Amino acid sequence: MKTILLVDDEYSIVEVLAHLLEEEGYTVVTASNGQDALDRAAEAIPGLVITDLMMPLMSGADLIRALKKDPALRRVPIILISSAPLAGPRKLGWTELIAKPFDFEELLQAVRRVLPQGGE
Amino acid sequence: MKGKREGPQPIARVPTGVGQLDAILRGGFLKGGSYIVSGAPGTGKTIFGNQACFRHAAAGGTALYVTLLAESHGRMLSHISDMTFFDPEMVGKAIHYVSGYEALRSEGLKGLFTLIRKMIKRYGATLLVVDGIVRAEGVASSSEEFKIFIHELNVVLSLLGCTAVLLTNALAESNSYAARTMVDGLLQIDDVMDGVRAVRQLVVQKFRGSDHLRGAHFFEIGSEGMRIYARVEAMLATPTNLPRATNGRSSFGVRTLDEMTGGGVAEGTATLVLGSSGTGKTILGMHFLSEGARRKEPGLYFGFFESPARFLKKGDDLGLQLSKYAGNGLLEVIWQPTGGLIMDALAERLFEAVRRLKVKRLVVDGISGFEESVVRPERLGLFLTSVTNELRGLGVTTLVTEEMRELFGSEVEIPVSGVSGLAENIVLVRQLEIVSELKRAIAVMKTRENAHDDRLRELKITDKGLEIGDPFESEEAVLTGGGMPRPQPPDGRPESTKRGR
Repeated sequence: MKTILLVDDEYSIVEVLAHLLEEEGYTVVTASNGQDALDRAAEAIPGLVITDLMMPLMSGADLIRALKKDPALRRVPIILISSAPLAGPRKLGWTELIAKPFDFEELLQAVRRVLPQGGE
Repeated sequence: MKGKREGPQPIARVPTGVGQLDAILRGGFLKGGSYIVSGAPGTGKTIFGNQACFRHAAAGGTALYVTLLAESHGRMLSHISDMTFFDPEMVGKAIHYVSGYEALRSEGLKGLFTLIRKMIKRYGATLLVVDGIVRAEGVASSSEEFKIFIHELNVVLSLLGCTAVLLTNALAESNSYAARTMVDGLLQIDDVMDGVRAVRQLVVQKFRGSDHLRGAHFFEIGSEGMRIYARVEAMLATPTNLPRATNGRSSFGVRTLDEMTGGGVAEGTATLVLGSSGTGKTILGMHFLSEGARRKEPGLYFGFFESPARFLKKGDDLGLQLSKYAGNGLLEVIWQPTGGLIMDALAERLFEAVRRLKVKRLVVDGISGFEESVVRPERLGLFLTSVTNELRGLGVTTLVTEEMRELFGSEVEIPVSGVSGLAENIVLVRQLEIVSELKRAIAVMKTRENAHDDRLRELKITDKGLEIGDPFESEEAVLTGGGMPRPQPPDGRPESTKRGR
């Protein structure tokens, strides 16, 4: 079963999204910033990273750059969640972009496109 | 790589389905938002919540109603089953009733939160009502815990695209503050006394992310459920349409009065017919409507004193054929018995009929009907100004009657302050005593966009309606109600007839 690495500094969003994704059959690992996410990814390569853009310590943009530099992680698909203007982040290398505010159904559809086999 | 949207999009609206609350909120709740509806027991919160659910379901949505109270759902539904919005077919299909009482009792706020999240997802609910959120507040160990509960609920609502209405009695001070800072909107409903009369009112205290109509709005609870009326002077502060410039005249249907005003009043204006009781104000309205109908201009009589049957018969007896015009859709009579009505409700009924019938001529008989329904008397002047401005924008020529309190007297006083300014034209009718004989008189005191004959003339009510005679030329001070013959010069001719010769 592929794991989703969910990265957001807002605890309640991580908590709720993790529950909702788990109810859809996915295994979810959570992190509260970019550095925390890299540490989790080093422990086990995730099948998908879902990350917020603006976070303390290491932003979502820096996280994506770090993932793209790492040969073991560069092919991991990334869904970026952002309310920031899109021109800059577009070059980063994300797979799907979700603009805030978003609803879970929209995110779930993006997850299903990236992981078409579902949680398997 | 796929970019789905460029920047934040406007948040969709979720209509409340509760009277004119959507107009007050400029379109309804914001999708995914949370709103507290607070009020003392008996103010109508449960009706509000259920009505919102049934209207939401009727519009194609799915509603989840979570109760935290010991009252059974069956008992609650039996209380609303007579209301027109209630549809038993919806229950269990598009509206799901769930008790959160046990989850809250055994697992606290965490248990309630999990239940709500799972139920929203299971049913695909787009509207959530939590009835009795004060219970959840009661089990919170601190205001911080309650605040976190509301915050996490907001996250779920936003992610699942569900809008929440939280019904509550007044919350404890600390938790109330916490909740107020966390939700997107606060609606306070109250039952207040106005003298011996009880009136219900709603105030939107907070509405994040959107303009709304501030201040008190009144509502009724009846067979249709809750009917909220937007305060007219707030809703119509700017008329929906701007009045058009026109050269057209609206004939009164009384030949001499038309001559006195140069063919009638300007189209789209308001005319105040001021006079004491029994001076023919209503009959003048009948002439005005009959003449309009004859010209195929739809008319509306909006009165408080004459029932439709009596109004039509009276007009028919005068040869004005009102029943015929009512029968072919050129005239509608709306009778509003006074007492216990909300002024804004009257305005809603008036405008509904004006728009439905595409009314060109309107008689409001009289202002006192609005005056008797007013909860805050200081509103009346601005209210009437807003109503007449909207009517001008709709191209309606309006005739408004107003009763003077004094039958006779030396002063012409308009009883309701601010009313004289709302009308472009003023016609005065009153009774006079002239040499121990009771007579009626009519004068045009003011017209806009036209000169007028301002001489006072005798007014007679005949079996064919109003007839206007020659000017009073041989009496003095007739307007004050006490005409005396003018002193006759030696040659026997009145002084006035000698002038200019």
